[in-house]
Amino acid sequence: MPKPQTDLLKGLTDEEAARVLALGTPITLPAGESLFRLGETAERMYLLRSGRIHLTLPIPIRGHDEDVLIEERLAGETVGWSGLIPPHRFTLNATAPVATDVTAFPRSVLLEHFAANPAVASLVMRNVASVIGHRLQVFQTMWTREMQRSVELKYS
Amino acid sequence: MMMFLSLLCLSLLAVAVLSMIVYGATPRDAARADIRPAATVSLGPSRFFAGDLVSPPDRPQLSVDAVVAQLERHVRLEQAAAESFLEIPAPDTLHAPSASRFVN
Repeated sequence: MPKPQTDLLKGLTDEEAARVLALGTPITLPAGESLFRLGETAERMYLLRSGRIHLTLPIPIRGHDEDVLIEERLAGETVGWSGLIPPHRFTLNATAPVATDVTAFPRSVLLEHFAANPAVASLVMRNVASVIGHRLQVFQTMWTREMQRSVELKYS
Repeated sequence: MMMFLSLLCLSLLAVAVLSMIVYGATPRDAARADIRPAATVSLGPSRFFAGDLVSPPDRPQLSVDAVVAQLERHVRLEQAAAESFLEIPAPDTLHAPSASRFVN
């Protein structure tokens, strides 16, 4: 079985990828269903098989928290890497705007598999690091641009 | 004794004369009523209290949905700008102006 195009399994052989995928549990989310909420303990990481996941942050507007869309994840992408990375707390809300299929990977099961397959662990963790690193770079750039605007407002 | 009485009389006389002078120099009530400030000093508007500040021009109140939409558009535009910078890291691309209405 050819492995699906996913950011999580990049670099693995078809066999290695199939073994990792077999560790997960398929979940179907109806439209509007929450996958996880900000601040919850992150015990699982998720791979999107179909549909979409909206990652949102609550922003108070006129005294009421409104969920503002920060990122969108599509099929083949990973969400909830906090499930693998300490302190294992979700930092965004994740909701399915349409019916969405995900595979949930419990941390304990993944870590056990990684312990037995260090080469797979290295590749998967590199892929996770790549996702995290890219997000860090994007948000660092966005933060720098906001700082620049603050400087212009305050000191120009 | 005579000398003492003379001095006493002179003192009383001096006090009486001084009292009359002072009474004569003091303005009567009617005269006081005529006293008015020569001119009113204008202090201008106070600059020390927020209530005296000129209010900003009224802006149309956006609905919460419109604010959220504007914020989300801002996030998308800023992410696109950040991705452009990461493709070609340079000061110009880092600080390229945003088209977002949220910051303009």
